[in-house]
Amino acid sequence: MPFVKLTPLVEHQTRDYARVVAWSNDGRWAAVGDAAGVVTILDGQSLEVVRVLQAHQAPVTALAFRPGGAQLASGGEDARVVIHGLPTEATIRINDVGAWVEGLAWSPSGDCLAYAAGRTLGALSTNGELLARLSEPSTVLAIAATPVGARLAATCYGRVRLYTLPKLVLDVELPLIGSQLSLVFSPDGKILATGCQDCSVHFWRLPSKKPSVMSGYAQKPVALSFDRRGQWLATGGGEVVTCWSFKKKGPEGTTPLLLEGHAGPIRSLAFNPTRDLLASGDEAGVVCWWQPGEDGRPLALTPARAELSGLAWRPDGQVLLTADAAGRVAAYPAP
Amino acid sequence: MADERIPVTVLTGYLGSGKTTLLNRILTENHGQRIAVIENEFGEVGIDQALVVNADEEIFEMNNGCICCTVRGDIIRILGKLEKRRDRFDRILIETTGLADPGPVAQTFFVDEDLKARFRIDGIITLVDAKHVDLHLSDSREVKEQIAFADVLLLNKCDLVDGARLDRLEARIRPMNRLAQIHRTTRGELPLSRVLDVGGFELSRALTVKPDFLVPERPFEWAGAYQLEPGTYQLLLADGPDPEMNLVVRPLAAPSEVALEEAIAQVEQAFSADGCERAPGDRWSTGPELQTLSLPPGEKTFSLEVKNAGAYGLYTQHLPEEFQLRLVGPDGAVRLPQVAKAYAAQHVHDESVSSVSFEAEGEIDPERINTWMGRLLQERGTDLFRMKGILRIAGRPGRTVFQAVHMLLDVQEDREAPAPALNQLVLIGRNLDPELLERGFAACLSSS
Repeated sequence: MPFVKLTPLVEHQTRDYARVVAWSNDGRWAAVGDAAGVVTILDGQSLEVVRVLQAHQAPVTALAFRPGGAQLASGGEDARVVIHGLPTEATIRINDVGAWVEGLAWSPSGDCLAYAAGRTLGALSTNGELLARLSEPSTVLAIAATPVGARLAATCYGRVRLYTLPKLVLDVELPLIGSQLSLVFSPDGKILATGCQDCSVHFWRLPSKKPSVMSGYAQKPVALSFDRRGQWLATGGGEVVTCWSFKKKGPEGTTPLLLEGHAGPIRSLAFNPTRDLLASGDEAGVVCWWQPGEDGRPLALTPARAELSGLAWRPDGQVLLTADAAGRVAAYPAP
Repeated sequence: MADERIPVTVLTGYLGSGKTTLLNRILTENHGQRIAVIENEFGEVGIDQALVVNADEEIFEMNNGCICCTVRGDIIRILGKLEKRRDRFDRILIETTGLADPGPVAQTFFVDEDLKARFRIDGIITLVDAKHVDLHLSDSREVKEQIAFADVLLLNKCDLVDGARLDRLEARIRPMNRLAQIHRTTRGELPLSRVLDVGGFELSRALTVKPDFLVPERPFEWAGAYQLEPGTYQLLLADGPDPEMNLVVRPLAAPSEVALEEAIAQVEQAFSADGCERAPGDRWSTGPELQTLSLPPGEKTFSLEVKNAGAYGLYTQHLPEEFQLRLVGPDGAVRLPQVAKAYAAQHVHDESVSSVSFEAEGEIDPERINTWMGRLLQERGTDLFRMKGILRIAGRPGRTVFQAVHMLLDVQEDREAPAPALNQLVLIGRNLDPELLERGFAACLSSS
């Protein structure tokens, strides 16, 4: 693939540090949450702003569109989970959840919304009714819904657990000494990976629970992304994007693919959902595109601006939405 | 290049020591600044402009299997989010709980790369309730550690305590931490420049203020000067921290502080020899010799013969109040000293915290210091709270400055600086053996 010059299709400015970006599963909407508590909703096709919601009284920390339905959930440092109706402006429900919201995840069927706030894990119905709630021994730092079935992965210090949804019944226990900062499932749900405080990536194969660890990262590898086939796991944790191959027997004992080109620590990673293309963003705000396996060099680079805080591809793979610490939101077309 | 990182000040101290009052003062007097407070205890904290985050303290062990290597997971998480805002905070204040261990807080800023890049720990400010800390000082590990870790120590609520008691308190505390600046305060009132921007962890400022070893260490913790008439006196003691205690009761030139001090050289000599063993009920006469009192449980009485009227000095190994020691006259009335002084104890109690310091001229051998320091941190890391040093390393221009919190070492070579005339090292820790440490350090000199 020849080198691509990245020119944005559209640019917007949010009022404060843009914290989170998300797309609805059907690509109809995109949303950006910022540190002013505002959720900006974009039309997925025109990429224009269609709605600006003062959703929270403190920074937005999480956004999740309901699969198959017209709702958007947002969480914030005001200790609230808000379910917004789309396309109308109606706020369906505001829930006070007692602590900063660390994560939101809908079940794949869209039947329930899981949230992590402080030490609490909770499950809400689409109307915001509380379906289940439990207390972990310490703050839940990340959650992720399984791509198939109805389970939720949640991590607090010392372990990762899988719970059933919506009842939050313990299903699988994965002990791990240390603090886990991010969680991601492979597209088939058979691999669960976590980025750790001690500068390692751990993952388990499911259902066997066979654990593996990749250590030696220069920094905390919080940014993680699986490609659409589950063949690559891209990880951050420094200036180099480290890609582990899951083809054949897996990455154990292999040398990872190192993608070098960033001059600052990786903050965001996102594999394109329909093609072999990886987007990465760093602390200086540079966005790179890569084709792992083809070439070690970036295919595209943007100039440095402000820390790249959010990266998300539209589900059809045609548009990349980026957001940064200065509140700049830009959409780029895929080559 | 100026350090652009956001300064973090840690306020620690027992419940009731006055942290919240000081914290609110800092917020009120800095109302032009954006300040965020992380508090783990519920208090009446905050003014409208300050962001107050109340969170549970979460101590996480690091993965290296060492029990002293712990960090505050909640601080990593909260500060990580606080800095994701367009408007930066000018300052962060962390108020710990009364029983908090300051070690993990400090270590957090040594260990997390993201935090280190954006924040710098400026100082650990420990507040001490001058009126009540006596009750906790002997048996509370947390109070001792909070004192040991401090860059600034505030003996607060001074309005409730008289000067002599404050002197005694300071004499007890100072040997534990000879690096900290000590201030006596009421309601936390002092110029805020003494608690903010103190640079307690700034390597370039390490040991610029010499550690306070001015308070001399003696084999006795207390001395009192009395004017006594002839007769048989009684020394009454209740239960205390030691099954034995050394003391001397000897004539003085006058019942004055000067006379008390003048006799010290001879008293120290007496303390360095073996004492006469005395059991409860024994009687002896005043004189320069050391008496070693055996102290079984229960109330004990010893008899003291005073042959001539005059001034006498009572020098005790421990503070009298630790045993409720009373001197009762022939008339049955308790005698009070005309003048009393507390001294820093040379022989520390078990489990006690102390500071040791070494200085040496010459150059340090880089391999030997590496080995010695590495072993020291590895083997004694848990008992070492803070360490600071300035060294002249053989073969390297300029000076090498370092500091450590437990096992975590932070070293900086400053090639441009003039080489230090003296190598200096100060350690604050538990169960330190000054002679052993001194030998180990001295062996690292190139010339040895």
